[in-house]
Amino acid sequence: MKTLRRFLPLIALLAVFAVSPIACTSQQTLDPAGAYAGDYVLWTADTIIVDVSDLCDTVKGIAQRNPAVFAASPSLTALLARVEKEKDGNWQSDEVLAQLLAARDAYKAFGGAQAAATLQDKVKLARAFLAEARPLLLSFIK
Amino acid sequence: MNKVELDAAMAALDAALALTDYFIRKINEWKAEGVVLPPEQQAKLDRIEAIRAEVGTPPAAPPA
Repeated sequence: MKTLRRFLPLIALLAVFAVSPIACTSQQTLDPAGAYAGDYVLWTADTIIVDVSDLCDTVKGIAQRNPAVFAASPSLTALLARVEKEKDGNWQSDEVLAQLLAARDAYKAFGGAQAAATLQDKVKLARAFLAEARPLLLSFIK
Repeated sequence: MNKVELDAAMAALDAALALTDYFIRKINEWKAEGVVLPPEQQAKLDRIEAIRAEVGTPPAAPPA
């Protein structure tokens, strides 16, 4: 038992050494062999683009099934008008998806810190849009 | 160190190595779960192109 106690620090050290990389696994990593070639900034931006697009589709679907509720609510009517404009095939510079696509394309084509910062600003804008729109839909999801 | 102590020390070392081996295997499994594989990356790019068609095509201007 005395000998076992002598090895306890070694056991503890090995356990700590083994567990320490766990903190590094909290974020997804991209297989560099994939289409994004390990570019996590572009992957994150595209994930947000897909999220915003899915939200637009969700809003349109809910509005089709609940026309009376949307007509009676100014905030829902405004949200529906906004998401329909986002995906009407005519991009406008004030649209969230158009801004995101332009920024991700510029980042992909030209790279650099400035393009990455601009893209991250657009990602923040999109997150704000998602945060604003999602609560309006909560009553339909319950 | 007599034979009993040596056996105990070896058993302790074996236990430590087994524990380390277990954690390294678990960590590799967790890491593998967090890796986005090429097919998933291509699927996302394909989605982006589909969304682009719905939104229209904004020009890719160089950063100011």
